[in-house]
Amino acid sequence: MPDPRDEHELPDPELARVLRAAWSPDDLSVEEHRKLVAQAIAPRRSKVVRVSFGASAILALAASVLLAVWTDRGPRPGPPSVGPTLSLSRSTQSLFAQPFAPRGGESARVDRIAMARAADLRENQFAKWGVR
Amino acid sequence: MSRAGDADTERLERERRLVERGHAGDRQAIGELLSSHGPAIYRSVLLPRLGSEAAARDALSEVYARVVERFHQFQWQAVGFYPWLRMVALRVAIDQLRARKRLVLWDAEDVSRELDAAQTTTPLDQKLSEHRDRQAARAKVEHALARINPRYALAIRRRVLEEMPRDEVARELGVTPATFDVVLHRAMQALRKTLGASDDEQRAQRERERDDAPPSSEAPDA
Repeated sequence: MPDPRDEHELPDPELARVLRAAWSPDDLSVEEHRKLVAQAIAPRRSKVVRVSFGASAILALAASVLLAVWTDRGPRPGPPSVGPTLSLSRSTQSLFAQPFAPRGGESARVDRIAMARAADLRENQFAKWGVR
Repeated sequence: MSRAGDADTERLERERRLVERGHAGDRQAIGELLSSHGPAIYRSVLLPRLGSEAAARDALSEVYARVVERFHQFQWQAVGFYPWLRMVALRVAIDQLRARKRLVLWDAEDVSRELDAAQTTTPLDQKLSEHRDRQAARAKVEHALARINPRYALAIRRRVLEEMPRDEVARELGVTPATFDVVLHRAMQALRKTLGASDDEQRAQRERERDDAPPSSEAPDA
C-alpha cells in the first residue's frame, strides 16, 4: 500500500507540506538538533582564522616599522621648490584711467589691451626660462 | 506539594543554575538550555509558521546564534527560559517571513501580533505555551479551510491532514477514486488561491472579522 504521506501523490506537494507543518509538525531529528546546538556554542573564530589573522597583523606591523625606519634614513626632503612668479590674468580696467568717449577710439583701446597682454606673455615666458 | 509540582520545581531550579553558569560565560550550560527547549521551539513555533523544514531549521540556527550572542540580556524568570527563547524565535520568524515571499499560513504581521502579546502578558510555562501555539497553528489551518467550499475542505482534511488512504476518502465523499483525485486537485487549487490573496485583501478580511467578532474581556493569547 502506498504511503499516504507520500507528497508526490498529492496534487500540490508544497501546499500539503505547509498544511502538515501547521497541523501536525514533525520533530527535528536528534542528530540535526545536536549539530545546531554544537554549532551555536562553538567559539566564533576557528583556529585557522585566528592564526591567519595573527600572521597578517604581524606582517602589517613589520611593514609599518620598516617603512618608518626607511623614511628616517633617507634623504630629508628640502623645502618645496618655488616656481617662477607669473603674471596672472587680470582685468583691463587698470589700463584706462579716463572714461571712454561716446564714439571712436575702439581700435586704439584694443591695441593697448593687446600690447599689455603680449607684455604679460613675454614676461611669463622669461620667468619660466629663468632669464628675468 | 504533588509529585508533578516537585518535578517542575526541580526542573526550574536546575534551569536557574544553568542560566547562572551561562551568565558566567559557560557555553556548555547555554547548550544544555538550548538542547532542552529547542525541539519544542522548532515544532511549535518555527515549523508551523514558516511552513517548511528547511526554513524552520535555518531559523532555529539563527535563534541559537542570537541566544548565544545576547544571553547576558536574559534575566531569570519564575517560568524559566522557554518564554524568552520563544520571543527570540518569534522575532527570527518575523524576519524570515518579511525576507522571503513564499506560501505560508502566517504573515509577518500575524507573528508581530503574537510577539506583542508575548511581551505584554504574563509569560506562560513551556507546556501551556506549546499547547497554545499548537492550537493557534491548527486554528490557522481551520480558518483557511473555512474559506473554501466545505466539500473541498473535507477532502483536504481527510487526505492531507488526517492522512487517510485515498480510496477511503473517496468512499466517504461518495465518488470513485479517480473522481476524488480531481476533487482534491481542485480543492488544493482553491485553497492556494485563497492563501495567495493579496495582503490588502487579507487585511480587509481581518478587519471584517474584527468588526464581526463579539466583544471579549479576555486578554490576548500569548
